[in-house]
Amino acid sequence: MTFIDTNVSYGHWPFARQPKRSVKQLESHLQKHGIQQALVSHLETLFVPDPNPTNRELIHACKRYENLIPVPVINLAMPDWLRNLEAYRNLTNIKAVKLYPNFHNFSLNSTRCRELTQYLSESGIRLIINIRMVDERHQYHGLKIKGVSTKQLLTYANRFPDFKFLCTGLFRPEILELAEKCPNLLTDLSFADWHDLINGLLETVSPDRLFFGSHTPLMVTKANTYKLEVADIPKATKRKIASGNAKAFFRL
Amino acid sequence: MRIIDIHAHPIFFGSGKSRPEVDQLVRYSRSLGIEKMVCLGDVLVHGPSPTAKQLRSINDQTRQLLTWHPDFFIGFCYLNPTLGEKPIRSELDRCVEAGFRGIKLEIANNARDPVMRPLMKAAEQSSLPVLQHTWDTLNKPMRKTHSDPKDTCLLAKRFPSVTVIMAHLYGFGIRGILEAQDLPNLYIDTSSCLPFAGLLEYAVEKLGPERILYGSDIPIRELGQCIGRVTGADIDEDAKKRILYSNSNTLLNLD
Repeated sequence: MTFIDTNVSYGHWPFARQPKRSVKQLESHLQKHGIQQALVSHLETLFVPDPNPTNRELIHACKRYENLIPVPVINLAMPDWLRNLEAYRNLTNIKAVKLYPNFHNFSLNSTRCRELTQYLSESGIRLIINIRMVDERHQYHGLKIKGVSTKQLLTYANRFPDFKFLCTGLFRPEILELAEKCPNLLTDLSFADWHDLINGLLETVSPDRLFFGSHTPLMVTKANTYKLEVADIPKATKRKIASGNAKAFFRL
Repeated sequence: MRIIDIHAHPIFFGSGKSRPEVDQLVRYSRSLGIEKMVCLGDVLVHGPSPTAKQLRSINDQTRQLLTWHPDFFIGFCYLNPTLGEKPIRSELDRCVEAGFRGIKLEIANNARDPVMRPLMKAAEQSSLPVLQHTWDTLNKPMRKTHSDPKDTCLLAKRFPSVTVIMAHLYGFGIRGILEAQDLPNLYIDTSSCLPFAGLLEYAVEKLGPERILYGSDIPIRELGQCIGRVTGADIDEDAKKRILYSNSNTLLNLD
């Protein structure tokens, strides 16, 4: 089975002992697990106010690895986000940008987020919103960051009903809470968990809204590939979630 | 790969108890290589501190699963230590007679409480392992009834001849692994939470693979994800086999 992974990070997460991989090693690791293409953001962008130098570093590094699609992180709390985004577009064919609202301390319902949404709508670039990086119950005491609230997501989704966006890191109950109220919300499955998960979700969510995300390197890659591989669902649905939906949405 | 799941709740808040649902779970589990599954009971259906009557009803459900699939399910007797010696002994004897092979404790009390003594003595006399729900609850009010790894490890220290299984590696984390060192009668299970990388590798490094048991905590978790966190860990193949199968096989005397 092959995958397009919508939730991969490059770099080191400082609160756990996890493999430190070069870009080349990351690509090999993903290939080993059947992940043919991956949307990758740089972890360092979460911990610095200005993600611009790190985004550029990632874009440059991914040029040698066509299966790794760099996804710049936009910090809307910084004044020059638009100038940076336009510069990235001159460097490469940007498929998506990613937001970490609670790491960078801005709201999805801010004026800047409205401006970004309008810009992305016009340019055809996709938006990924990261909800959380870890289970909040087990955060390192030196860094406690809440997940983006469903209330904030609901307001954002309803403000731009024709704008589809992908969330990474939603828990299963959050997906179920938002599914009917936000038909423009798409989600990865990295944090969604329950016995016979996908069949349960499909009672409420159409299969074209579910995306594969491994959350590598924070999670064990195989745990999320195997979760989908052995899911008791029709093969066609499995293929859509594994790669088809991402291929269409990100125009890969 | 052969698998024994030491931590499962096939019936959860009343769901999953019909014959077709149980048959489906068994079929699906076997398709993933799971040969045996330990039923710990519908432990929270009556709240954190069930009565003797409620315990009997929960354990009867487990016994029903054993009757339907005796080659697949293994029963652990769910007990509430706060009920006192007589009800504990009575329910445990009933379950042992029905073929149960261990004891499950949840959140009726903290594992360091004196009420644990009669139960642990009964476990010792019956040579049954005690699987204790454990979570990182240090400095949290919930610790009164949710055992922290410090508490479960203290229990294992106090009763060195009883095998204690400290549940939820991904719930007690690094500190729990370190607490579990130098306690040969204490095992840990890999159940619950999300498959964050590095933790199982750390457990193998600090404890060795011999005291780690695969567990899922279904239905709260997806079986594929739980298996993948072990098969995808950066540990050697022999360690994976031990964790997924042979450690539990030996511990539960299944051969």
